[in-house]
This record gives sequence, structure tokens and C-alpha cells, in this order.
Amino acid sequence: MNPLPLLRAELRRAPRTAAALVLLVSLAVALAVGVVAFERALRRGSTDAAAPFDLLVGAAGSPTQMVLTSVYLQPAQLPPLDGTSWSKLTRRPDVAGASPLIISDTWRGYPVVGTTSTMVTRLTRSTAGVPAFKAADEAIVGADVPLDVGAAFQSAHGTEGPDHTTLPYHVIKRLPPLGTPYDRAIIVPVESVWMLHGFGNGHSDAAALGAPWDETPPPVSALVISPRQTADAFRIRADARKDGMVAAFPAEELTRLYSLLGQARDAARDVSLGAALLVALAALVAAAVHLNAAASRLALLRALGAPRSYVLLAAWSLGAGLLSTGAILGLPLGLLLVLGARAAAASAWGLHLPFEIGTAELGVAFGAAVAGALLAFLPAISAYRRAP
Amino acid sequence: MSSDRPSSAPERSPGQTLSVQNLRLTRREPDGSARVLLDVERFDLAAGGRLALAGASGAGKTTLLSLLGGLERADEGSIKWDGFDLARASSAQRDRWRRRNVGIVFQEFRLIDELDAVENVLLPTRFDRWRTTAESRAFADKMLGALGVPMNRPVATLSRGERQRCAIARAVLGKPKIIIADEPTASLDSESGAQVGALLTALADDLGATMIVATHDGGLAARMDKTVRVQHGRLAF
Repeated sequence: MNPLPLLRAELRRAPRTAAALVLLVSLAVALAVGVVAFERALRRGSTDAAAPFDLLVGAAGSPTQMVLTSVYLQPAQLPPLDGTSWSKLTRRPDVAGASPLIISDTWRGYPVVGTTSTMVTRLTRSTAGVPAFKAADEAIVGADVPLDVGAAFQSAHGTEGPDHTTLPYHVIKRLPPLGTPYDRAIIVPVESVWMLHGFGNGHSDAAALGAPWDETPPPVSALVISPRQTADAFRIRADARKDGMVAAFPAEELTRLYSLLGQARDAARDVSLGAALLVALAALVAAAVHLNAAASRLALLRALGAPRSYVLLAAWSLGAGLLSTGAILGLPLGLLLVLGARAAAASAWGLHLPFEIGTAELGVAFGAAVAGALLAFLPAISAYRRAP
Repeated sequence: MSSDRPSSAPERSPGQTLSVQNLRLTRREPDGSARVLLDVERFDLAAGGRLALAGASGAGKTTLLSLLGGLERADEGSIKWDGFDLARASSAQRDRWRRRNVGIVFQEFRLIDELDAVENVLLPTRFDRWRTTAESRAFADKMLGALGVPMNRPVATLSRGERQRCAIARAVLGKPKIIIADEPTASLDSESGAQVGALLTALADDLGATMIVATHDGGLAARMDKTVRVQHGRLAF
């Protein structure tokens, strides 16, 4: 049996209707594919960004906000963590390393992060080619910051405040792309930020940079701690919390966020699949109306000797072909949507999300195609039964 | 293709012999009563014979053709073509029998407008095969060429005469043993009607097919062996 000549005739009879149907189904499936793929990419991208941050400690407040500001550089004023508290933490024997973070100033919207050379090494996951700060006026810029090596600039107070005038920075290094929000960061010695805000430099030596600091250094936004052992991390977190501080594993906070994100993903996916189903049902109604109108054509087939099974095959293959084609086209269309969302994420959050086709997206598209093929049996069986 | 009529029906086999007995078809009316559409006591047609059905519109000609072609099944009686009783056959059996034995020509051509002439002619070959055989394709080309039908134009662009000739080519593609035509010249002008009538009988001659035609066209009826009038579902010989 070969229903192709009939399919060709039906497509020639109503090419715009067929194209509109395929487009509607593909858009609906593309939404579902896009939601699933983007959520996974966001999850992976955000996990990669949080990798250099083992344990974060800050002043009492929201741990989620601390993670969002410290890891993803989302603009928000974190409550200052006083020097005595964080200095005490850095001197614990179970702490292998600690880097203070101050995230308050900006340059033309790019966040200026006060920290240490050690933290830069952790962010880049390599010591190769990363120079240590030798002076307070040095800056290392992320790959997306439009400042060349040697360029001088003044940071501004906060996100919209006036420029600081006392300490012009100059760029000593541009980092390679990290694929994290720190690609948009300007990293400077933490001492320089203290000095700009009138706190001194945290050392008895006016030219010193990095650990160790005085016993009562100036406040910071947060402290990134590398524990010696995994068990140490939990102990440090418990002690910090006991002392009235907020301590969080970014990975744990992300898990909580992922749970919410996952629920949102599931809801969005279900809504988009529901939309696809509604489109498919609308298509079936259209197919039923069309088959009613084509009753004389079906009668002709039977008069010419076509078995009922041929009528069934012809009616089914038309519906299944249109619905399945739309569903399969939804896959590349959905991935195009993800590319667009990726670009938006990179621009808005500095997150360079990974892009790949997963089994979930393939499952959505091919599942929709199979569902379309099954749904197409409904009008086909109706035509089969009504065939004279 | 010959336009000469054969001298006698028996020599025109492999057409099939028709034997109808006590044929009855009724329809249930909305008020619950039964209306008799056809009531035929008996009639026979020899293999290769030609029969014209005449009669007023609504007399039952098309209904009788539907029963003879196995498109519908009678409530009572028998319709035997070479002994195969359509009245007792299942729908699938009638489909298979019709596909192998019958070519049907309709008053309004019943072509698929979006396909070209060749695709229309070859359509029945797709019912049980994926690919058309080279033999069928060659036959379709030859037939359409002989009938003067443009092969690769959508049939919607053809004249009515060309369309009916295309429909006739489709009907005879499978070299049917039986040709059933329902008012094949009714929607044509007199000249085209005469051409189509001559063509149909000539093709039936070539195939040796048994032929039954419902027609108001006296010229076409004159080409048949005999004419039977259908009146209120009954045959008047």
C-alpha cells in the first residue's frame, strides 16, 4: 500500500493549513524542549560557577543572597562581616585557606571585587599566568570587561555612587574566559577597597597585601573558606552559625534553588506540553472536519477497490505526518530558543551556559511525535468506520 | 483498440456472467417504515454482454449499479458474477473482488484534482503495492496518449472531455472483466459524449469485458446489446 499520492494531493489542496499546523505544533514542542534544555544548562553552568567556593561565611542575613552576591555577583548590599569574627575564622587550624570578599563598588556597571591573589587562583583553577597582587592599585579583569592591560580607571562607590578619587587602579592582567559571572568582574586587592572606604589596609605594614591580616581587620562582605577536610567544613559551619554568622555551602544552597527550579521547570514543561496537546487536539478537530469534507474522496477510493485498511492508512498517515513533523521540527526550534536564552543569560548574569542536546530533549520531541502519531488514529479510525 | 463491436457476447469472454435473483434492497424511513429501493426478480447477462439501464432520475439505476459493483450489499437475494455471490460476501471480500474485476466510470469523473492525469490513472495500483509496476506505468502512458489526454497536467486544468477520458483510462487500467459506468456522458457536450461513448465500448471490446451502463444518452444506449428500464426500483424488460 502506498498512500503518498493521496498525501501529496491533500497537501497540495491545503498547503497553508498544513504549514500552519506544522508550525503550531513545532512551536509548542519547541517551548517544552527549550524549558528542559535551558534548565539543565542553567543547572550545570551555575554548578560550575560555584565550584571555587567551598564554604561561604557572612554576617547574619540570607544565605541565599550571600551566595547569589558572592558567586553570581548579583548586585545587593550584604551586611558587613566584622573583622574580629572573620579574622578569628582564618586562624583556625582546620582552615586551609581563607579569602575575604568585598563586593560593593563598580566600574561602569562591572562589579569591583576586593579579594586576594589566592582567590584569583581559585577562580581560574590554575596558578599558571596569574600574577600575584604586588600593589594596592593593581587590578585583574575578567574576559568580558572592556579594559586592556595597562588601562587606568577609578571605581565608583556602590552601583550608582560617585567615583572614588584617591586610588586609580591600573590593569595588570586580563583573565581568560571562565564561563562564570567573574568574567564580568574587576578583581582588586581587598586592602585597596578598605583604603578607599577609610578603613586603612588591615595590616600594620602600609604596603602589605594578603594574609595574614591584623587581629581586627576591617569588615568584609563574605569570607570564602577552604577547609582542610570535609568534616572540618561542617564543623566550621556549625561554629560560625553558633557565633551568629551565616555559613553556607554554595552547592547546598544551589540544591535548594535547583529544587525550586526543577519544580518550575516541570511546571513550565507541563504547561508547554499541555499547549502542544491542545494544538494537537485542535489539529484533530481540523482533521475530522477535513475528513468529513473529504467523504466523497474516501468513497471514491472505496469505489476504485481500495480496502478499508488503505483508507485508514491514508487518513492516519496524513494526520500523523503533520503532527510528527511538527514535533520533530520542534527539537531544532527549541534548541534555537535555548541558544537565545543562553545569550541572554551570558549578557544578564555573565553565565556561559553549556549547550548540548540531552536525552530529555530528544525524549520530549520524539515522545510528542509518537503521541501525535497515536492521536492521528482517532480521525483515521473515524474515516475507516465511515468509509462506504 | 478497435471500435468495431464483436459479433456475439460469448466470444467476448473473459468478461463475467451475471446472474441476479430475488434482489431486494430497502431503506428505513425516518417514520420507521421501510421503503423498497430495488426489487428485481431475476435478470442475467452473458459474459461480454452489454446492458444499458435507462429510466428517470431516482428510479434506482445508480443504486442497482452500486449493488452490482459490490459497493453496497443487498438485503435479500443474490448477485452472482461467475458464481461469486456479492450478496453473501463480506465487505473485504467485495473490496478484493471489485479491485480485481471491476472498472467504474462516474458521471462527474471523480478524479483527484491535485494530481496529474498519470497519477490519477495509476492511483488504484497503490492500493496493494508501494511502487507502480513498469507494466502499469507503460499501460497508463499508452492509454492516455491514445486518448489524447495531457499526462502531466493537474486534471483540474483539463477539459471535461479530457477528464472523462482520463477517468476511463483509470477504470480500464486493471484490465477489468466488468465495466460499470454511471451516466458517463451526462456531463459532456454531445460531441464529447459521442466520443466517450465510442471509446468506452471500444475499450470494453478490446478487454472482452461485460459492461453495464446507466444512461439517458440514446446514442450510448444504442451501442449496448440491450436496454432495460428501471422504474421505481423494478426492471421493465
